[in-house]
Amino acid sequence: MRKFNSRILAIYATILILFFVFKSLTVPATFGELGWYRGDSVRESINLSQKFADTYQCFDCHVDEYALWSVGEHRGVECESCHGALKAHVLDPVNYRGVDEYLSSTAYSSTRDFCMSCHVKSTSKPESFPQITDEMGWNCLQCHDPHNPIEGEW
Amino acid sequence: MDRRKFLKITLSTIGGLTGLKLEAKAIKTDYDWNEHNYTFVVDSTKCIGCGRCVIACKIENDVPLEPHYFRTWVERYSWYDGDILKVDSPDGGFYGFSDPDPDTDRKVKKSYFVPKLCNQCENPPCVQVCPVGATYRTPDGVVLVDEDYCIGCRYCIQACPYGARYIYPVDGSVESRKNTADKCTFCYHRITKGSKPACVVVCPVQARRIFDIEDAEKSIEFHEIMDKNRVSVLKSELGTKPRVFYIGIDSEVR
Repeated sequence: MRKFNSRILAIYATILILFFVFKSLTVPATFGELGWYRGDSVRESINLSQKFADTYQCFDCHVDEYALWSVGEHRGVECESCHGALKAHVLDPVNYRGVDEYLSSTAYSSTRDFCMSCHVKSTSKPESFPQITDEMGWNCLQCHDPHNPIEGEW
Repeated sequence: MDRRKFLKITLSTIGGLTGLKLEAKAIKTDYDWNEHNYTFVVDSTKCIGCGRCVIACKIENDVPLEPHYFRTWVERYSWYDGDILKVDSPDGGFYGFSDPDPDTDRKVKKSYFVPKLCNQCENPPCVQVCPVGATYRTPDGVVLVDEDYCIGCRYCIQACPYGARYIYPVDGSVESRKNTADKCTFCYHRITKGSKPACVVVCPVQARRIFDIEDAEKSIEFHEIMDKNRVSVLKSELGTKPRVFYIGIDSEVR
């Protein structure tokens, strides 16, 4: 009877030990550190690289543009809204000239199309937003400076 | 092998693995998530449907540029004569919207844009259903996906009532994300460093705003917006407690 018990106990202990070995091999290192997930995944999320910079970083160099923009009607529009993702340019302004091919005016066939991407007339837009129709086909930049659109060269 | 030797080997293996585990906790950040709590406000009365948020989000987060993969997208709700409601979102609003909707010659009575994104629910159904613990809600109020741990079972995509998740395609640019669930993270890599999410940065009319309500100043601003506007959340009846608040939408917006 005594011998039988100790053998069962030994088997149990072995299975338990094997289970813990298997568990520590398969469960990721930081799983359960912060909750029911891999703790490192949070840090990986935090450490992803940014492609957009912050508007204040632009004005370390582009002071003239700041002077125009900060008093104009477009002051609520941040730099990268029109110029695109330029973190790379902030980090290395010499080698990376910074033209974004999706958001900046280069993504559009003309600067007019670029302006119209916001200012085209639409019944769905709030009425207070300045909207124009496409009839005239003028070049917006003839009169408006995009950094300060009202105070352009009239 | 005798019992003593066996025990010795097993114990030292366990000890060694524990050591390895402690070693692996090397990734360090000085961000304390207990000091932050993020809330998003979408003002539908300001949105002009330019789609810059959709483009910016795709660039910032390496979401494939081709249509139908979105972390955020813009919908247009239009009521036509005869009380007909039409909702459209051509390419998620990536190229903006044409006006009027080409499919109908009825007169538009009311129409506006509604930007959509993950609602970062306080009670997220997607986290509840994940069978492997690959998605979770952080104490600062963001639901994240562990792309290394996700098995791509798509259960969370079924569970999300807002359609905020998608499967990252195998031809996408991020190797570790292929065939796993992907979603809006409020640009977690940006907000944890004090920057605004990419969509908030590029929005030309401040229709999208983010507030850290643990920050005294931002909290005052947030509560002022809550007090002065008529605010709602999407599908409040589901009890998910969304953390994205909408200004100026009808109950038809869901």
